[in-house]
Amino acid sequence: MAEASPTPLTTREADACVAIDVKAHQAAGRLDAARERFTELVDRHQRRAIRIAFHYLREAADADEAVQDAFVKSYLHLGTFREDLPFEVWFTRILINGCLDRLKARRRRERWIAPPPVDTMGVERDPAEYLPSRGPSPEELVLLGERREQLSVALGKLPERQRLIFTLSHFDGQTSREVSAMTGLNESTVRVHLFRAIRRLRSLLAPGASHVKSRGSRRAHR
Amino acid sequence: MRIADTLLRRGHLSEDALVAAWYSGVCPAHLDTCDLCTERALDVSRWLEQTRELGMAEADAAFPAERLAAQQAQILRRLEQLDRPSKLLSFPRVAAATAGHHDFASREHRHFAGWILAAAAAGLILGVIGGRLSTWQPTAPAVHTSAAATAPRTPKAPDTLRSLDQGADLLLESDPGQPQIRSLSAIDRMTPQGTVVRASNRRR
Ligand SMILES: [Zn+2]
Repeated sequence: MAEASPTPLTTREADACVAIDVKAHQAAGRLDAARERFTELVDRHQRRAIRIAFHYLREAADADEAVQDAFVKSYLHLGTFREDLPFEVWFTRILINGCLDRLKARRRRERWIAPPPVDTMGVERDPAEYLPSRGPSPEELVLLGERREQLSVALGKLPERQRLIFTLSHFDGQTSREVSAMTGLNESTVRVHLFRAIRRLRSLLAPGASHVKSRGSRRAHR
Repeated sequence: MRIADTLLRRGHLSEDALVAAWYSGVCPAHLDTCDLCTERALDVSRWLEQTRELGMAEADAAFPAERLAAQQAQILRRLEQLDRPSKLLSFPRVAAATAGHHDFASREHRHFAGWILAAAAAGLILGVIGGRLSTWQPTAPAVHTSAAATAPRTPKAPDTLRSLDQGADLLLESDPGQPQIRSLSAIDRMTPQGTVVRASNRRR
């Protein structure tokens, strides 16, 4: 009889395995091995982390740093991570807190300092500039860029908490229970914020709604 | 969701109900019999899908593969630096001990350097005492001094509270004076705080 192939691990199980290994390497002082194994966690969670941070912070450079910080913090404190909690939830919580720190610092700064930086031409760089060279036609790119710009402006008009919950629920595909664990808000509050965010976005993005056409939603991409 | 939110007055599903149905993947029975709501459900579903696509595309366009690779390299560099200092920090002591075994001249040198350090420290202490004495006044009102020292901190309190608007109360690492939401504390205890990270950086 053929040997049954082992059931593939779920992401959660795989994360827990890696976390256990990294902790063991760290404890034994095999730091090179610990870092190498930790890279697997970075590989698995980097893309979603950057999406969350990017939409929540609305500034690419800030999002970049926030994601780096979150991975560094989680590596340093993996010893406090318990495998009965998904790594994803634990890590996202660290990421969100880092983002909140940054938003707070930004608010403090903006109380004293002039408007966000622009390039030498006085124009903020468009996210579409990062598009790869192959793919949609120039016209489609313009249209896509416009729609993304409108969404970006509309997202910027949401209160921070609604934006965070919308980002986690909609872009990261988390259930309200998961978002609740990540944010510490209860599930019904999560749902209320999600519905409010969607209602507001739909009205802002409704055809003929002129209030999302303004530029300068997103800070400069550095 | 409250039942009142689920149905509109004329018996149709509310938009929140349609959104909830999309997220849960559970189709409300009402849609089997109502064309109007089915039409609205399709509209909501299209909108949600398009928005998701657009949002992902925007983030992915700002962070193409090369940028993610650079970010990952940077993360690993930072981790390497954090793992390394333990070796660097012990260096002077090791070097001194080794020198003590091998090199009499350098021991002599350290003896001399010790005298210089002692003299410098004595000078510093004398300077500090001299400075205190020159500004000391027998009638100096101690209360005024401490009030002046705390004065700039006082306006900060409402400032901190004002920054506690949406979202800020989710913070794990908040200022010690800030109110905390109890429901967060369990998970917060499991997650590192910046101060802990900084302390452990120093220890490493
Ligand atoms: Zn209906």
